[in-house]
Amino acid sequence: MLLACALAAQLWVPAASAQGISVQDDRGVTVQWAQAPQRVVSLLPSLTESVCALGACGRLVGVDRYSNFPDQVRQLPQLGGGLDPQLERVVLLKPDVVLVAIGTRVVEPLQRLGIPVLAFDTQNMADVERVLRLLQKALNSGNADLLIAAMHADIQAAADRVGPMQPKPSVYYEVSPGPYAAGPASFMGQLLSRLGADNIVQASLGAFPKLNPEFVVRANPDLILIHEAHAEGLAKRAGWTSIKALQTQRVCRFTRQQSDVLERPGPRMGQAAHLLANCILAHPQTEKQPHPQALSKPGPAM
Amino acid sequence: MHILHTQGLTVQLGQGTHTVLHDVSVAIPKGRWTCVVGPNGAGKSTLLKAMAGLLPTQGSVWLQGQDISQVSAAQRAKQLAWMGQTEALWLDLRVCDVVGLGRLPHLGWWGDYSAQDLQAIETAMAQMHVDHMRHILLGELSGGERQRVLLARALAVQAQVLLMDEPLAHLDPPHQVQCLQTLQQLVSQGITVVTVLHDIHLALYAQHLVVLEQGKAVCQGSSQDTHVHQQLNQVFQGCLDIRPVGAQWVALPKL
Amino acid sequence: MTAPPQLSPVQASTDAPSPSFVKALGALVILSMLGLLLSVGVGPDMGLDFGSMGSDPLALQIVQDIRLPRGLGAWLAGALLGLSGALAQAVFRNPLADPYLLGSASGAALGVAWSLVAWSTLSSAAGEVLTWGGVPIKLGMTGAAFIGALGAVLLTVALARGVQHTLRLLLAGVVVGVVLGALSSLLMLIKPEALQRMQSFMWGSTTYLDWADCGLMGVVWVLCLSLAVCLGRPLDALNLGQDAAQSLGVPVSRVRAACLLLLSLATATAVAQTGLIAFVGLAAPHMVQRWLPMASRTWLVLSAVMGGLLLLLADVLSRALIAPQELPVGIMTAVLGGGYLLWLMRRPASLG
Repeated sequence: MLLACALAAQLWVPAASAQGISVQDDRGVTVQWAQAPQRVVSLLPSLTESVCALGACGRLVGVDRYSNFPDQVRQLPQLGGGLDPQLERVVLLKPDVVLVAIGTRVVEPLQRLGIPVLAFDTQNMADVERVLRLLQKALNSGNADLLIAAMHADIQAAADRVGPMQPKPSVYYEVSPGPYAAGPASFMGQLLSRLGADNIVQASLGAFPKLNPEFVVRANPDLILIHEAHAEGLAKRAGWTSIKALQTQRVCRFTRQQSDVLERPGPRMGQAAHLLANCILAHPQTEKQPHPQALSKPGPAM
Repeated sequence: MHILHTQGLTVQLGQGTHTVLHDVSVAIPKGRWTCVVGPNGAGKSTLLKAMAGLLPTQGSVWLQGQDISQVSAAQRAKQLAWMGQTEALWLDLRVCDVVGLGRLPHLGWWGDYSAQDLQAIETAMAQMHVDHMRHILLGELSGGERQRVLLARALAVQAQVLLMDEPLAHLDPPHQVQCLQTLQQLVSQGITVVTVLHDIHLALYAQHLVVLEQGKAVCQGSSQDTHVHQQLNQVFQGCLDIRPVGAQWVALPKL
Repeated sequence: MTAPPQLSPVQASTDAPSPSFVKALGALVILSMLGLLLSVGVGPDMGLDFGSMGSDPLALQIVQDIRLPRGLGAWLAGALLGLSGALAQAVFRNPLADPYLLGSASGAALGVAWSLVAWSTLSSAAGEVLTWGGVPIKLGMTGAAFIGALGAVLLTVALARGVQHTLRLLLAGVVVGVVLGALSSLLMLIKPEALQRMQSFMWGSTTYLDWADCGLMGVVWVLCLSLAVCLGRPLDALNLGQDAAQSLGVPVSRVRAACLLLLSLATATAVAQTGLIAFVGLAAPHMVQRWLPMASRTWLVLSAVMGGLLLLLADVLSRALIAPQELPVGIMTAVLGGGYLLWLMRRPASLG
């Protein structure tokens, strides 16, 4: 896989020899170090994965309770959730930098205690690229450009596998019961668009709109993507048995690990794209469909 | 010599829908005990409150020659003490604290009690025979004892004019007598006392009567005046038999 | 009965601090200091070794910059709430009154909701920079909560058309509370990602209190307490009923308005710093009153100190019970305060 080559290539990249490191995070705050931070605390799973993807996994001294990839971070001290981290334990770890999602409450107290904080906005694909580049600069480790190139190559490969689909399948990705859907502006929404699927949610509704279930019934998606734990109740929802996707059994159920990959805008973007591609390919639009319109549809290219 | 009089007093309650007093003009003689009498709903309590300056009124109330609405609340509080029908206390205070509240007009919000204040409190408590329970909480007293404490509170103000609405409520006969004797004592010292009493028999011990009916002043005059007695009987629908017993007039129900 | 002895002026002076008040105050203060000491020793890694504090600058920093201000801040917030609760109960002559009854809770929540929706991409420290008379003022989530709380009370008073009638005020407070609550729910629909943050505000939290917060709360507390104590005598007179108080020369409406202003200021300050913490304002005045009967002045002071002690203990427990995790402190106070009220109810005597 291209990803493996990219990871290997990182080891060859010489470390920058510039004295002093200065990075501006997504708040617009500039943080400086005399030398690259060696003790890193990450309070967001996607940031943890990014740090490890850049080859600095060994520098992590603490993570939040949701960070679980790669395996070695599970040995690290867990410092609570992203929203309610345990300040004291973070301080006791004596970090050189703390990585958080923008808008976290802990930023102020940490800064008051003199601990450097980098806050990132991680919503979509563009954010992932920016975060990787900033982290590379801050940690002086890894090669973000290579990683990004490898991710894009992966995404392209996934798109190629799916091939052009005529007509485009309409997709509904349910992020959580509510129901909250992934819109085109969200991370998964962007990947789905790249793969050539139509989202039943318009971009104007936002990244994760809370929908009226009636809307989903009326939109009548061809394909439903959902976490396996919530998949059971789908048919029981009022009126949902009339949805094409349920009638033709075109429901992708993602496991916990798969959901992690799909919902974290991070360096496993390529893997996410492949997961989505597998989903689409596993549920092709076939000839034998009860819906009369389907008879005129050609089979998808494999 | 009138220390307190009203002119054309009209009081409306309930946002102007219900007129309780119509154009009432009464004059309270100085240094006498006046009693306001009348049937239920005549507006006796309202008249007393209006005279104390506690209600918005049309018409005017004059206290010692001054329009009461022009007098500051602090000034008025020193000249005029009012006691209404009892309410439950929110915080349980000791008897001496409650009586001490009567000194508020003289004391202000800060500052300790002066010797004069303490003397006034002592006198008031002695007059109402509550000095032996000074450290007991009000909530632990019986209805009659509580009433005496509140009476003492009004006395502690040492105002020139004392307005009391049903001062004898909850009191047993011996204490009723004691209270009336205290009022008579105050009158003899020059204090003006105005009471509302529903018991006509006791009201006739006052020197001056004001008879109200349905918010209007029917008549006012000496309690010895037979014309006043006639008006009084009329107002009570002829149920009263007012006759002299010795030097005192008494009112007996006509059965 | 034998004739009572003549009282000396000192004995009869009902306003000199009585020995029982001084004892009570002393006891509460000592307990508070013990609580503070305890709070310094409690954390996710339980029992910081005090001996190492001298040699380990990190441990010292944790105690100085995290635990101490947190403990003190919890006490101050509790003291503000205790004072507000006592004032609310005095003004409304209602044992169930609490600091939030004029809609200040919903107002603060609305302020927080609005700040979360409007300034979603910035960190909590940022927010809008307004200019007021040429001076730039930073308005963060704390400021928004404060303004929301005060605004709600003003709205309530306006709706009740003045402070004349306590019943009208109470009803207006309920209406304002419901309406503003609905508005903040609406805002949360617009931005569901902020829901978790909103929830943590609703539960209350003493986690991030620092020295600056303590300073602010301390100043407001001293100010509100001193002014409230000045109102002690008129409040006692209000005890006799509105008419009797007025006949004694007390400007009832003005006293009420002043009490409401102090109570709103104290509540808004506490809520802005710690979120919505229930029961402290309700329970503290009751606990003090049961302990020893007293006049308004002493009751206000003791309610404040008792409130501080309550919240401090709740904070310590919330950290100690399931360490290294923390229970939201508002849940702790609800359990403690609710338990106390349940215990009150099972007694034969009625409440208050």
